Amino acid sequence: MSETHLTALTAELVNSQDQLIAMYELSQAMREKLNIIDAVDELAHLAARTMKAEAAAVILIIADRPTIISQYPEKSIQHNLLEDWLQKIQSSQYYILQNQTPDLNSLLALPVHLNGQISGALAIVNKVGGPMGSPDRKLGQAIANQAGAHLENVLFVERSVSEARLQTELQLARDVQVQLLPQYPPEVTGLDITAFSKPALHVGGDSYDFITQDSSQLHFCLGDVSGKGMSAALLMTMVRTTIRSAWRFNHHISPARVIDRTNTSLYDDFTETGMFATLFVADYNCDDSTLHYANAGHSPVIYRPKGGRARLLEADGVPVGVLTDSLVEDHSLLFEAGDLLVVCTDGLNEARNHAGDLFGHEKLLNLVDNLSDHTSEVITEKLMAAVSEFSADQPQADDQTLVVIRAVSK
Amino acid sequence: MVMEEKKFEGIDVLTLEGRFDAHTVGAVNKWLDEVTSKLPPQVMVNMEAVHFVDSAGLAALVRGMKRSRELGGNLVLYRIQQPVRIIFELTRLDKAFDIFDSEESATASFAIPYVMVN
Repeated sequence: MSETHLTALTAELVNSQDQLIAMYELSQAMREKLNIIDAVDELAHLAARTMKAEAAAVILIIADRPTIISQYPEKSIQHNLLEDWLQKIQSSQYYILQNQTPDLNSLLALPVHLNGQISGALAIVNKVGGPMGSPDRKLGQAIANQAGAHLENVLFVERSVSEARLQTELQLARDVQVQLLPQYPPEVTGLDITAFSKPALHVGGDSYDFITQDSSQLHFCLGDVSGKGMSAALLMTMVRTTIRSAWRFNHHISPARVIDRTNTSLYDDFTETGMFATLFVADYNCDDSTLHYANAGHSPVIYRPKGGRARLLEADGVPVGVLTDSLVEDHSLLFEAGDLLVVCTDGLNEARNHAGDLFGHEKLLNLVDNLSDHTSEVITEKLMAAVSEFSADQPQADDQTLVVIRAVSK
Repeated sequence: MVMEEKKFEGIDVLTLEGRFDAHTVGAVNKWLDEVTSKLPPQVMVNMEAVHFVDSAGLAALVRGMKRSRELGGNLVLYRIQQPVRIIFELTRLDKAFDIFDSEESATASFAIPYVMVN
């Protein structure tokens, strides 16, 4: 073997060793950085050092986040240059290697892959002591590949943590929403009441509320905010608060006036959020066995007089938040032993089976007729079971809330 | 869901087809935002081919209607078919919207400026 050949081989070996050491250092340093920004900062710094360049920069584009740019030293390269280089790399699917450009002595820009896509670039600028060539490109690409793998891990961890945090928050929100519901059905002379609610997601836009006055008077409301999830739940909470305030402020306020006040108070909030809420409000007075109610666009509200057939109580007002005047009116019904009122949200009648059929109002009305001799608790259980059985393994598409009020002998 | 837009004598007309629900509401909201940014908004929605609407779809229509009226215009609906008609009746949204049987009568409603009655 000639001396030149030996020298060349040695140089290659030293070079390879340098590279290995550089890769190892990179690996160690980046492993400690568990968030994207720190990891990218470390990468820029290490790349500049390892490649023996005046400056290095990293640009990363990740979905749902602002563009990430890091440079070592800071502010050495203009952002729009980095964006141009990344665009070129993405469209050509190739690296950039230029020596003696008008602005720079040398430029090496390499793709950084995240999950199989070119999501960023590593740019090395102005190598010290000479032009850049194939060995620089190989080393640079090795660094970019290593970095890409590490960044994928960092992103994965970040997403998992953020997911876990969201789940916890949703769980907490659900706990609050469950706690806000009346914990026990109210005790009212002459009434047997059961209530049940099952949101489709963690939290939902359905809710109900009861207030009693010395067990002879009951205020009841049930509402359904359009939409699902957190925003609907928040709006519904506001509705409940407004209604409670109205009842507390004036015990004798009629259901229609309660709805009017709710509409007036929250109209702007409903406008801002682009939502509306159907609402049923009722009062029962034990002394005259009368149910007073008002209905703003809500169904199904099922009334079954003793010995009669179940029928829908139709709404006359529009849902809350739709018009500045809700157009509701007060109505009254005699509510005596054996009479039944079932108020639920359309998550029940709109439940679907695997064939896409709806559960429907008919089934609900028939079930109420058939179950009319049972306690409110049994009626509630059987209605929910029927809907559950009908929709079988279909995911629950909408919140399901049900209140059963049965008049009993006093 | 299929959406078709057209302009007719200064009125923005949207024809919807299929299910109008939470999944399909995004594009409709976007269109409504655009057409209600001109003054006064004059919007017609052809419901003839809509066979299902949920609260998200209804909320989108309500939003468009409120915006239009706030800016001195109106959003009207026409040719609502049976399964969807019932939903409008149950929720009493048939009282909130101006609903017409034909494109002609819907168009004619814009000849008279809409006046908000409180």
